[in-house]
Amino acid sequence: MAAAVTTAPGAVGRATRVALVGNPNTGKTTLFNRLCGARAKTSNFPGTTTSVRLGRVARPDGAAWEVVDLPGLYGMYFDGPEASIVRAFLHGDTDGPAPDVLVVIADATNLARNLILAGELLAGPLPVVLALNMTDLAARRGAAVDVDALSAQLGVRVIPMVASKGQGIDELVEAVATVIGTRPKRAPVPSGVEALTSWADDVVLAAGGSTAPAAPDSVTERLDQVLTHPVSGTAVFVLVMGGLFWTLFALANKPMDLIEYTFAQLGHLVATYLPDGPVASLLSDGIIGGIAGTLVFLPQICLLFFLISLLEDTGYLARAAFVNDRFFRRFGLPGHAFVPLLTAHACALPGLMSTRLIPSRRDRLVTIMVTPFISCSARLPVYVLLTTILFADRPFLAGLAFAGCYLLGAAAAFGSAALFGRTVLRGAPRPMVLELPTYKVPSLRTAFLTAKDQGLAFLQTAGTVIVAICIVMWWLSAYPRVPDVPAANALRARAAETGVLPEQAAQLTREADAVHAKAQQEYSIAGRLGRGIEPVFRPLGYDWQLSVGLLTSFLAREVFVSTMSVLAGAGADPASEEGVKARIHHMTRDDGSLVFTRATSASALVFFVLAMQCLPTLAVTRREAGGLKYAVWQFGYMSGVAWLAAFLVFQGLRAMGIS
Amino acid sequence: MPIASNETSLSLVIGSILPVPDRSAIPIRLCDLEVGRDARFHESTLDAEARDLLRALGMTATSVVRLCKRGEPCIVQVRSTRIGLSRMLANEIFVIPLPAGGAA
Repeated sequence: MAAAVTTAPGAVGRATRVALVGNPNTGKTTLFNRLCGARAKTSNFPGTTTSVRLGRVARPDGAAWEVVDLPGLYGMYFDGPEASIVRAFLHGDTDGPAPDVLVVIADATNLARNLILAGELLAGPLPVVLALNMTDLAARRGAAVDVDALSAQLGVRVIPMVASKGQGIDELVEAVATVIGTRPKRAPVPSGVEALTSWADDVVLAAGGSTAPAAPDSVTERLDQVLTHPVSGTAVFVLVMGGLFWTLFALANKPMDLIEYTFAQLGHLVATYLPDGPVASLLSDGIIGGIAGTLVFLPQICLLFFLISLLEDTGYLARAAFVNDRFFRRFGLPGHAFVPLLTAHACALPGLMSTRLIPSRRDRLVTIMVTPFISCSARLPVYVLLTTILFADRPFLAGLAFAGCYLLGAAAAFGSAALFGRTVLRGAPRPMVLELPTYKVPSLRTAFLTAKDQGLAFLQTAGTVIVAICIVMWWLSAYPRVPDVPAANALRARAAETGVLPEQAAQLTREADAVHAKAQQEYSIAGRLGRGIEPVFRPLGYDWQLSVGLLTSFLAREVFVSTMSVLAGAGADPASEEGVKARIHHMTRDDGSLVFTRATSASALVFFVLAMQCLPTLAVTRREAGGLKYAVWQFGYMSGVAWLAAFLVFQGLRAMGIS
Repeated sequence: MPIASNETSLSLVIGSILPVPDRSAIPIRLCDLEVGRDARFHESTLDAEARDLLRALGMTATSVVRLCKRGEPCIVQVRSTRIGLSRMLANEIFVIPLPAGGAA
């Protein structure tokens, strides 16, 4: 047992730092959630994109603990980003002090392997408590050990627990409280992975456990036979993914509609109660439109992460990665790329961050370069808008076109991966090695907290950028103010003439407003920019207004609809979807013809599927790939592919007589 | 005298002079191991990256491995860890089968 030689407080004037360390899939995050609940927050380690969760535990004696959920790792010696982060954290090389206590979480069903990491940490100077998790499962499998004997062997307190059911949490907290400030004296632990493995085996045997391969678990064996089989595994995968996306679209629609409706009402309120002028315009067109444009994606993002967390918790995702490996390898992608590509359907940012799970740098780079081709939820409003314009009275065809966008994005990702594998990133993906975690009943609590964390992270990263872009876009299209518009003045003068019926006067005033708004757009900075960039997009069928929409959406594609809404006409609320669609659909060019012809709409749709239009994604690509050149390459390649494909679609349709 | 009898006699004579190799101690590829059979890890011809990852997952010099599923992926169990392995990797791992019915 740990011996308290001194009882110097571990923390004077600051909260005691308790770090949770353990192998992947040991229930570390479940334990963290039990300890800290929903009050936890996620932040990045300084200089890295690895997120860490921080939480606080208030003790009855008034003391506070800061609990840190460190990334899961197999060993401190292992050459990987997680190991270097944990090493730096334990040495106090990050922005906070070194931890005061380590809680090592070990999977009781897999004790010998978990003790290798525990042994490395026991060799250090910090007090340690071992949380022996999943003891219920271990007992059912006949793998239970004598906890007292294990504690005596290791020289630390060992707390048996079932974190998913909250069992053992109080005992763990009390055990941590007793070791704070102690300087442990423990028996020496050998160094080197081979020696540590033998040591871990000896400890398990002395505690009454076994180091032979566990007896076959018939349920696991049968499930693995089915879920990793080339035919049945693929069939289950298609069903699971189909169910996931159906649930996503079926359940996220209502809250999305509610958000849009709420912001439409808010915009209406502002327009009603604030006098006409720049403040009302900024609030309704810029700020409210921008916030609505961000918040509307939140239900989908939270729901997707909730479902992914449930799937991950069951142990299925690792099996799905192997099923995909067979298909992915044909295109030069590793099976590991499955999780990033799946996550990217919500947002490319977490998708890119999860590429850190891919061990080979070449495989990681290929995955990073193609992940943004996957249709994220930010593209959805653009797909909805353009497919509705394309097939206004044919919802079935609109639905097919919508699904086609997803397929086109995926095809571009796989095609590009194959191209990179034969050119700039030559080589075949590394064969897969992956731990297949135990099948478990997923934790709703963990899934809920994951969804909350990811939703907040999305709002912090994308939200700020999108709202800022909307405000800038509003300013660019509102200033400088057009001095005088004779045509609008003439219409207003006619409306004011005596003898004009009130309905006619109202119609003339609306026409005057539209003419004035159009003149304002052309006169504004955005209008001038649009005319400057128009020659680049003219071969795709776009006029200056659509060129402005595309230009601003290079910062974040979500702003396309609100930008087009601002350009389509003043007065109406951009958050009102029906109004937005109708206004954009009927936008006219300088010669009076429609902006969105069938050929132009199809061309714009293809452009949005393939183009790199997200500044935060480029920033994350630079960090994750390790250089600005990768972000520049990604931007150039995707934009080039998008332009070429949109050009072919527009010119092809025109050649077929469809305009 | 039948030829077969001569051959049998000859093999008995040779067998008494040279020890007959114990076929169960010859390393075989992991993917050739019988499903459900335990074996001791012998060596691998994997690159350092894959070797390190397998060691981190518990496949060290002394570990006992059980083949749970053949094919793609090949699934093995080391202690209580189930590891999915591409068949390409399983071809480069050599194990020595243990006598059926118990790990040494």
